[in-house]
Amino acid sequence: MARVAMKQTLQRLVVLGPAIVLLNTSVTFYNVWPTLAVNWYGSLSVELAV
Amino acid sequence: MILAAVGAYWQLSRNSLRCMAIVWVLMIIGRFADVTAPSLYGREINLYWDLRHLSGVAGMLAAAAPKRAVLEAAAAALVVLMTLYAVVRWAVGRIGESLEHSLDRRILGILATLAILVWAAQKLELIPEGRRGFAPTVSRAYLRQARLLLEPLVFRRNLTVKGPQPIESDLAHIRGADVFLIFIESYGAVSYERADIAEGLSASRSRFQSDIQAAGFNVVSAYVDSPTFGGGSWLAHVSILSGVDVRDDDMNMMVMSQKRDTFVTPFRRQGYRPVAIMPGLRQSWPEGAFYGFNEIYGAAQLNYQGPPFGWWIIPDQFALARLDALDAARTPSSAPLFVFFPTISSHTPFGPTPPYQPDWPRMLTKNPYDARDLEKALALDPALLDLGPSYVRALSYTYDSIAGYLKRHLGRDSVYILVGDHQPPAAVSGVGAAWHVPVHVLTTRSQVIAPLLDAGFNRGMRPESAPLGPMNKLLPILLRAFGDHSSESLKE
Repeated sequence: MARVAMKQTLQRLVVLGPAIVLLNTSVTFYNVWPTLAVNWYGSLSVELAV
Repeated sequence: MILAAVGAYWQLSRNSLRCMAIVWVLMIIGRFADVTAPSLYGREINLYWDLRHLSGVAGMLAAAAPKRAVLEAAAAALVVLMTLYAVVRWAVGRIGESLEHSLDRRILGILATLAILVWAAQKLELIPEGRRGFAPTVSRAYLRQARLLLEPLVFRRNLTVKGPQPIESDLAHIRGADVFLIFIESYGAVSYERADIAEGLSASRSRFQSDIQAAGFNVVSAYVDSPTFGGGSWLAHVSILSGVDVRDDDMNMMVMSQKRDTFVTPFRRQGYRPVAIMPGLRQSWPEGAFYGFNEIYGAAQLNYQGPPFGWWIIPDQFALARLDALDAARTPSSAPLFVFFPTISSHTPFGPTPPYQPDWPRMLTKNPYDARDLEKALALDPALLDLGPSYVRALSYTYDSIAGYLKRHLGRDSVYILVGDHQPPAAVSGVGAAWHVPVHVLTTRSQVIAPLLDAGFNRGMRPESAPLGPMNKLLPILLRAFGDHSSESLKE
């Protein structure tokens, strides 16, 4: 029973990681001049943390 | 962190997750606008100023680009928005799902608290800021825009207009000469300072300088700081014509609401005929009366019959050819001209650029170009993500058109003031580019040259020193060069 619960928790966390990275990246990118393209340099969003 | 706390007591509903996803999509859009505008346009967005010009700019781009491209862009924008929402909704859903479990809530709460502490340390300068730290918040960008929108509505700005009054000159050094004040659209320092653009323009610029000298003109050049960047040409016009540093529409309105002398006034007093040739003008222009123009030729009055070139339709060369036609009945005893001509063919997005037509009278016909030349010109649509080559083509065309006009009027006693209105947008100028623009004075009157050299101009087409100052300072500099004056307000 405990093993099943642990497995479910791990599964949730495995999906949660990319979800958080995605939300963070989506508001911390920078522009690549002179285009409309953007790039991410590893910045973090305090708004996501809040 | 807030969600972790809320999640401990309440389960987040689907509707609240949808709302969060929508808010996050708005934050993504805000972030995109916040980082892209300075990079492509050259300054931050100011909703208070920019919203009123949005429809015009959208219309210009829609007309300049093929209809199919506009539809494709609109469809792509819709797809991007829907995809963004779907992806964000999925991510927010996963967080909502995790918050239903106490272990996940604890992990998220700890991570969020740590992040906020590090952010606070960064704000307190305990940790250096940089791209690898915390990005500027999007809410800061939205709050700034809200403040910019509300400030003028809530608080009255206390504006005072500082500028020379009265504006007087006997114009003794140029008496009888025709004077052309030509604002070259988007003609910025970048045309000299960005290596690939300078190189692209070098042949046409050399040709232009040779044509100027062959036509018997001396040329001196300098830089001045434009009051605007990437657009807002009217702020440059009013700054030179009024002598007031006008950097926004509030100040523009304030200046326009006053009865003031302008650059045109001394010319009127000395018997000149002030004419405004404005191929880009499609609505009423009350500013014309403020400046003191007797005759204003907008797009309708110019009556161009040839093929359209982008949103602005009328080639600059046609506008100059029409000026000659309007002036055809001129006799030696006619009043000299003061011509105000803001060019339009080098307006963003810099194309399609008309071909130069050596046969000037043909410009006034319905078929100003050979079919092959026209086809070739129209095929060269500006590449919106690489505007440099189109910018070079557009400026080369402007040089050719003005040089052609000079050659048509060999021996004419005249003074040409060629000044850039502003730098092109940052997509061409580069991020953080300076706001200075070239100004050239071409004249057959040697008395004009020495005072301009004293003021900081140098001989030739290339400005060689730092900007003389803000653009409005050109008015006293030019009037001092053009003659003696009794006005204290024009003295430094």
